[in-house]
Formats: sequence, structure tokens, C-alpha cells
Amino acid sequence: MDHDELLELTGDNNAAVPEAVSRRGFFRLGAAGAAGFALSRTLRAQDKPAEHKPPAQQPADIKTNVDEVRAIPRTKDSMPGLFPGRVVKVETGQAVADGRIDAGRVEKAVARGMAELTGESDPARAWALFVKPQDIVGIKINPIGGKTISTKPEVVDAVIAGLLAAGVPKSNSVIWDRRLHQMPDAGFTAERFPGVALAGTEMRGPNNDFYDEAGELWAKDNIDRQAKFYFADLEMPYNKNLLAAMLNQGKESYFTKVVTQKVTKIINVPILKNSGGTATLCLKNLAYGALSNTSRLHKIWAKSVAEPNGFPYLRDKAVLNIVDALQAQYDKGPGPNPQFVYDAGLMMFGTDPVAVDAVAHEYLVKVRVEKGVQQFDNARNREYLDLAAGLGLGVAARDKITLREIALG
Amino acid sequence: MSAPTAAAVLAAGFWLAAQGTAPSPLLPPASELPGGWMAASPPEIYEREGLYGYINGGSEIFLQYDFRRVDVGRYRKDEAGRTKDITLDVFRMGSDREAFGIFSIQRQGGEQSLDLGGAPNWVSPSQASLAAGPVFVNLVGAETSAEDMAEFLRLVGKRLSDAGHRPFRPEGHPGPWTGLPRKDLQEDTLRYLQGPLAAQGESEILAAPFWGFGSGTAGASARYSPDGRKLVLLEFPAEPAALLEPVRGVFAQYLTEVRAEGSVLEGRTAAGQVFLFGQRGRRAALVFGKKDGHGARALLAETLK
Repeated sequence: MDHDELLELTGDNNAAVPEAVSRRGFFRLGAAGAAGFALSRTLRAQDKPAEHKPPAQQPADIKTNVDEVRAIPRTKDSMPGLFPGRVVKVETGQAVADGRIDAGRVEKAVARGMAELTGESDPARAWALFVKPQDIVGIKINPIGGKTISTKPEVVDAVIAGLLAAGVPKSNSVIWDRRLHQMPDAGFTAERFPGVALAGTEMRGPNNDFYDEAGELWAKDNIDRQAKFYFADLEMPYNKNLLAAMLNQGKESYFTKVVTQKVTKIINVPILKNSGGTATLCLKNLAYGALSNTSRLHKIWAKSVAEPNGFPYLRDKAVLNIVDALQAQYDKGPGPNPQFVYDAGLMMFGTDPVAVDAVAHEYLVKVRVEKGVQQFDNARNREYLDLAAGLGLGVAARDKITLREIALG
Repeated sequence: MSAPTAAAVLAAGFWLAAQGTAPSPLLPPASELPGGWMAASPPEIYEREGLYGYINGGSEIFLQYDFRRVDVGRYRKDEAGRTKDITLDVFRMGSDREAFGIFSIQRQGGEQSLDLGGAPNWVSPSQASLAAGPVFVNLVGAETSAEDMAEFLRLVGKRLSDAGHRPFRPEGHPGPWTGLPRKDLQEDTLRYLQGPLAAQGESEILAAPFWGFGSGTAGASARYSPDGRKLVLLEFPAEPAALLEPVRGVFAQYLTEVRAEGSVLEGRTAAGQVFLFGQRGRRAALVFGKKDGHGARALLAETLK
């Protein structure tokens, strides 16, 4: 069994594998929240205290290789997809109350949102615009906020129902994020989603460590070093602990094999939260979720959120964005801070990730101003939208975006 | 000892035997956990170069407050068919002032707090926080109550106190906060601003590079009664060249009715709120006031006198 097999955690398929000896079986346990912590070692970054360095200033203009991918021919599925500049915002009514989710109302909200987006009232026809039965569909979630603020399993249920309506069997669906080990806390386990694969890039092995007995990263082969990578002319030294989360050092960020090899379509299901004075959802969920070696990229935040989406593995596969804003976080994000999480009760739909992000940004800034944590918007906070629009990935100009707002009872 | 507690002790012992290392000294051992709570996983420790492995987005602001290390404990309790979870982050920062600083910018003011020997803190059903010495503590709960969080916060507060970490009292130390007028100041809104991100978090106006956050400028902010007007006081490492014109440029970018009266700059937001700026020597002040502007002008005058 090579490391590639760690990439995937299936539901039903695992049942026949003896858990005592199986790596997959181990992850199945982990997904159930019962991973054997007695086997693990304390994570330690270094034994001696780190040397203090002053905070680095943001480089003015760091070169990347994004121009190399501009010339790659687009497909009919390429961003911004079937409905450039169109965004549907659904107020779900009571789909969330005190953090509790009403699955039935979520299902109705998804059905209505898809109908408004596509003009097709029949869910099967609406979903069939984006996927075919033979597609392997990656459902990109965001689980890093754990129980506090992550993609809700009920929303993914509705997505899977839509895919089933379009003829895509459960066995062709893959719920994925970069950090497989964070998915159980957010409710994404093999038991919760039987028959659907769960996949990640970074992961621990059967020894509950990121490294095997030979000191190799268990996940080292989960990134595609043969596929075109995202180059940015900056690097950051990583210690052993951080390398486990970044997978490689240097100036290259590799795409996960989930997007380069495994899936043929991606349904992007981000959440709504702030990062400083901007909103992070569709574009960042894809870019930072699909790449390795991201720590260094925070220095060129706007570029690194926008540009990786111009690579064909994302540009040509991410055909639909369904934003789970049932709960949202308006301050001290992107890390989870319950103090600032509230029941927004919203969902947004669009094929154009730039337009959806632009609408969400406008909404979240309004909330931040109302809450008194921000006084006004800053054009600098919209830079990533303009960069993405410049790559032809969607519409950033608010006056060119068609927003349909639906309120459900 | 209850069965779950005994199990946790055994598990902890197993980890230690397996890893051959001492437990994290600031995380409560299993024997001290409140009734029914168990460690859900081994402690995790991330040091400066490894922080992105724990907080991939949002690390920078901790680094700007001279983050050194975080000890992470995860705890679980099953109660009435529900599983409660608490994640305890114990951050060690470069100094007492930096621990207070990162604590201060996470609070809004008006939160419920506990008597923890003077250590600033707040608690809610899903989150709690405190600062003592160079340590900043953040607790995040799921399915928890304020009582659960308070119990953990007291436990950690006592461990910090026993370890000799004393509360940082800004009034006893030099810093930009010394220039904040005391009258009507809402104590639980006092913030210490260090680095560009904390400054920008106060206002987009402070995002401009000429303020010098990141190269020696620091700030303090607080809200004032009765109308909640906010004062941000900046302290520069050396007296800067006149700031009125650059600030006027930034005001013009965001505000309307921008005008200078003597050395004071005034503008209004789209909602009609008054913004003021003034400078005196190494200090400058911004006041974010209400529509009538009266309280804001009085506060600026008091600050710069």
C-alpha cells in the first residue's frame, strides 16, 4: 500500500477492511471521533525557543507564474461558468436558529437557489447543467472552524441530493478539504456520509503522526509534483511541524491530486467569514484548499487567493458555488471566534466565484459597519476580486453583477 | 476518582510513557479537570515557525504581537446525550504587554468577567479569554455553557497564578494608554495596538503606511461613555513630520465634508458620524464620534491639551 491510498477515505468501501491492520480503517476510526490517542506523540515544533524576528513587511510586487496559464485554452466549463455575473442570495428564514440547522429548510433553500440561478424548476434538470452521471464530483467544504463555523453537513446533504437527481451516484462524490483530520470535528465522517468518499491532502498516518517511522510525510504523495504548479517568488523556512501542514518548502505550491487527478467537477461549498476587512469564501476556499506550501502565500494574499483559480484544475472544474452562510463570522476571522459568529440564515448561489465573492464582501462589510467593527470599505480589500476578474474568472464590478434576492418564509 | 477521570489519567500516562516528554506545564492535567471532562487528544504545541500549522489564516496578527508558542488542549464531556467540546489555547507571547495586547483586541467590551485576581478576562457560553503575565488564554467551546467555560477559565487562571504570572496593569507601565483621558473611559474596551493588523482592525484609516505601525508606532484605543465614542491614541518612536496633509488625503478617500480647523482635521462618514484627527509632538489622536460631534471634539481637546 503506498501513500496515495491515504488520499481517500471511503464510507461503505471501508467496511470490509480489517481495522486493526488497515490504514483506511484507522482513518475511519478517526472520522468517527474515536481515533486512538494513546498511540500518538505530542506535537512539538522545536525543543528550543524560537528566535524572535521582527514582523516582515509585505513585499511590494512578488512575481508569480500566473501568466503561463493564461494561454491554456479554456473549456465550456471554465470560470465564470454558465452564468457570469449572476448571483442568487436566499434568505432561508428559520433554516438556522441558535446554531441549530433545519435540514428540511436547507433542502428547500438549495432547491430554490438552484432554480433561480438556472431557470430550471426541476432539480434534476438544474443540476444536470453542471454535472453528468459519469463525473467524479468533488464537494469542497471548509471544516477548519470545527463546530464553531464550518460548512454544515446539512448543506452537503442537499448538494448530494442534487447530484443524485442529476444521476451522479454517491460513489462518484468526494467530500474534500486540505485537512482531512479536521473534517470529523465539523461533522464529516464516513458514518455520517455512507457511500461518499472523504478526501484530504494533509493527513496523519496509522501512528497518528504526520510522519511515518522513516521520517517521511504520510501525505507527501498527495500533492501532484508532475502537474503545473503555482510559483511565487518568495519562500519561508518551515520546521518539521509546519512542514507537515505545508507538505513542501520552496517557491512552488503544488496542487492536490484531488483536483489534478481524482475529480472531474468541483462543487464549491465555502462558508462566509471575514479576514480583516474583507470576506473570504469562494476563491480562497478553492485556492488555499487545493495548494500546498501556503504559509508563505499570506504575504501576497490578494494574488494568492485569485491566481491559483486561473489554473485549469480549478478554473475548468469548479462549476458551481453554493455558499453556506447559515452562520457567518463578521470579525476576528478567518480563525473561528464564536464571539463574532451569528445566525445569518443566508445561502448564495452562482457559477461565477468572483461575483459571488463580490456580493458577499459587500454584505459582510455592511454587517461589520453595523456592528461597529469597521467604519467603511477599503478598495484594497477588494483587490483580489479585481485580480481574479483580470484573469477572466468572473465579474468583480458590482454594477455589472445581477443579484437576485429571495426570501423564504 | 470517577471512571472517566481515571481513564483520562491512564491515557495521559500512556502518552507520556510513549513520548518520553513532560506534559505541557500550562495545560491542566487530567487530575484537575472539572467533573466529567476528559482530554480528547494529546496536547499539541506549536512554536513560532510552526504557528501556520495551527492557525493557517490569522497567524500574522499573533506574530505581530511577538507570538512564541501555543499549547493546545482539547477536552470533551458527554452530558445528557450531548458531547461538549472545549479547545484551550495557551499562547505565550514575548512580554506581558503583548499578551495583554492580543487579549485586548479580541474583546468588544461589555462582556461578563470573573474575579481572577485582577487578570483581565471575559467569558461567554462558547468562548472565554484571559491574560496574565506573558500568557494569553483563549477557550472555544461547542455545546458548552457559560458555567463550563468559567470553570475552565478559573482552572487555567489559577495555574497561571501559581506559576507566578501576574496580571498586566497598563496604568502601572509606560505606553500609549497613559495618554488616554481617564474620565468616562470604559475600562473593558481598552486595547493596546501593536503592528499593522491590529491598527487596521481599529480603522481602515490606520492602514496607510505613513503611520509606521510595524516600525515602532504603537497605539491604544478605548470607548468613552456615555455615547460610545472611540479614541485611538498613537505614539510614534520619534516626532514625525506634520501628518495633517497625509491624513487629509486618507480622510478624503473615505469621508465627506473634510476640513481643517487649525491643527484639527474633521470629516464625516456616509452615515454622518464625525471623525477627528489631531497631533501633538510624538502623539496623535483619532476620535470616531457620533453625528453631533460635540463629545468627539471635547475628547480630542482633552487628549491633546
